[in-house]
Amino acid sequence: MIALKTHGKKIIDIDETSIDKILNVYSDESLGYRSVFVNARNTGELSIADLKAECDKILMPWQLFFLDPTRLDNVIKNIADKRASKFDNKLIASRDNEGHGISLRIADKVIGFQEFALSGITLQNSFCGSLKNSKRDEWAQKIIEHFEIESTILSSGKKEKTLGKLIELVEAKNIRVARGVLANKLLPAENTIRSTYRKSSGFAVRDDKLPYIFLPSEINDNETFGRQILTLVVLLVLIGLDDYSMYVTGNLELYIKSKKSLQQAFGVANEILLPFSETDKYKNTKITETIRDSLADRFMLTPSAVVVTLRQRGLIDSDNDQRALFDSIIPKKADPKHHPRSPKIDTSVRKLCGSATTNDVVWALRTDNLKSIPAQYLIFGCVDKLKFAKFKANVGL
Amino acid sequence: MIVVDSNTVISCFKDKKSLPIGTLVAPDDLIDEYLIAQTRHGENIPGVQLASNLSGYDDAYYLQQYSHYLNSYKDVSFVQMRGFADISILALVKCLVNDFGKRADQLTLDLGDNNLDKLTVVTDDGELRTKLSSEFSDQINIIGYSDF
Repeated sequence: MIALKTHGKKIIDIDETSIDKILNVYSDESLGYRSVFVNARNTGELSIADLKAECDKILMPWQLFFLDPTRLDNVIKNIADKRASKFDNKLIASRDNEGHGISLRIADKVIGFQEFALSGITLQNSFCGSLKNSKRDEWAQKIIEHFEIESTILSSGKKEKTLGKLIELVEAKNIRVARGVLANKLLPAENTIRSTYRKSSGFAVRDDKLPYIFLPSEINDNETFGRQILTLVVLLVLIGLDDYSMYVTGNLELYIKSKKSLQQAFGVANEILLPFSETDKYKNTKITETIRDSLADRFMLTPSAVVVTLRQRGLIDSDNDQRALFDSIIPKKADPKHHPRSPKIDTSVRKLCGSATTNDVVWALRTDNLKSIPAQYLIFGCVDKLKFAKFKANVGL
Repeated sequence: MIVVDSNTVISCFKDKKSLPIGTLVAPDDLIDEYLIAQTRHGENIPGVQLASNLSGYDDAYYLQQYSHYLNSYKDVSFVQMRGFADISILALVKCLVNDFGKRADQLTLDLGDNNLDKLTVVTDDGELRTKLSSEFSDQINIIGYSDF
């Protein structure tokens, strides 16, 4: 037992097993090794001030530590049940040291946004599962029509702008999009924990009214805008097929061969992002690095995704040619002299929660339907007065 | 002495209505909601006092009560982080009716000064009213927004 104290007086005894269970809610973050809890085990004592400060760092509610073992088991079971209702079990368990899968923390955050945003939405989302009722060769056109994607946004302009526009179109049809952020400490900020997020993949959170898509964005070093566009469209295909059993890794192109349904989703996404009419021009032409890069520049795909697409369409004949075109890709490196300024808190919140959900939060705060403390837990994972004050000021509250 | 839930405070600000007369005691973990409501509506809550500034405040006792009620009521959601304000209010009321565990639960706020007033809790929240009634029955007055 560990005595939880305030000003030297005991409040309650906490069962050590309870501490293990709480910290294991995010088993992939190895929270049990943090010094506050190690010291508590060694001394048999923990101060409420230290517990609250630590909970603010690991973004977990300190109240969990006040629960008796039976109630705690129920709360943890609720969290597990909630996850299980949103994903295939295989997906939740699949996160491993190789960096594929999804972070439980991020999954819970996105589920939290979804639960909040769902209030007031009663209609089923007509897109969910709709592709199952039509033939494979109609899927790309159905997606283009449903989301009202104009071909011009896919063949001109910067990829960053196109990604923003696509997200806008997707959110307009009641599919919310959250993007990973590292700025402004909206996720636990310590490097040991962050390393688990950096390996996170894109995924979709099931709901028949308001599915949610997560794009790793800035938490993954490999997530260029082109790659995020591809991930977004692949996840849309999967939502259209009611398939929540897959995550989409940063190295999507390397893994699609292993799963037929992912390969299928990739094929549909590429029909949208790189029309057959464009690649048909290269029939009977040997695909060179110049052609690869030209297509990647003109359309919204990365060079590696272009190579896989051309191979799928039979325009690259052999594995050797494909490998040569992969190997010669020169990764774009960030300019070492470029140090972007930290984004404003509301920019990061809008990115992580999704624009539409952020608008819902602001509206709920403005109309007093959301209190400040639940709002802070929802957005930040803890009560942070300073950050909340900045957020409110920036959104005009 | 009165304890008021934040919805009542917000309703008073919106309707330009005065709160019942008396010292308004706020749990420390809810004071931000009151202050934010003050700022947002450009109003002031007169005479608000933090629970931890009360004479004889005992943090350990308050948190013990918090723990008790947190475990007693299953409608607190850790997924949506809802229901915690009710727990803070229940814990505070318990501390006030028995002077932080120093006396048996009593009907009045007599903390040695012959105060014959009962603690008044102002809330229109049906679930909170039910909890307060079942925990404290006639030890407190529970009134709603239309009662003052």
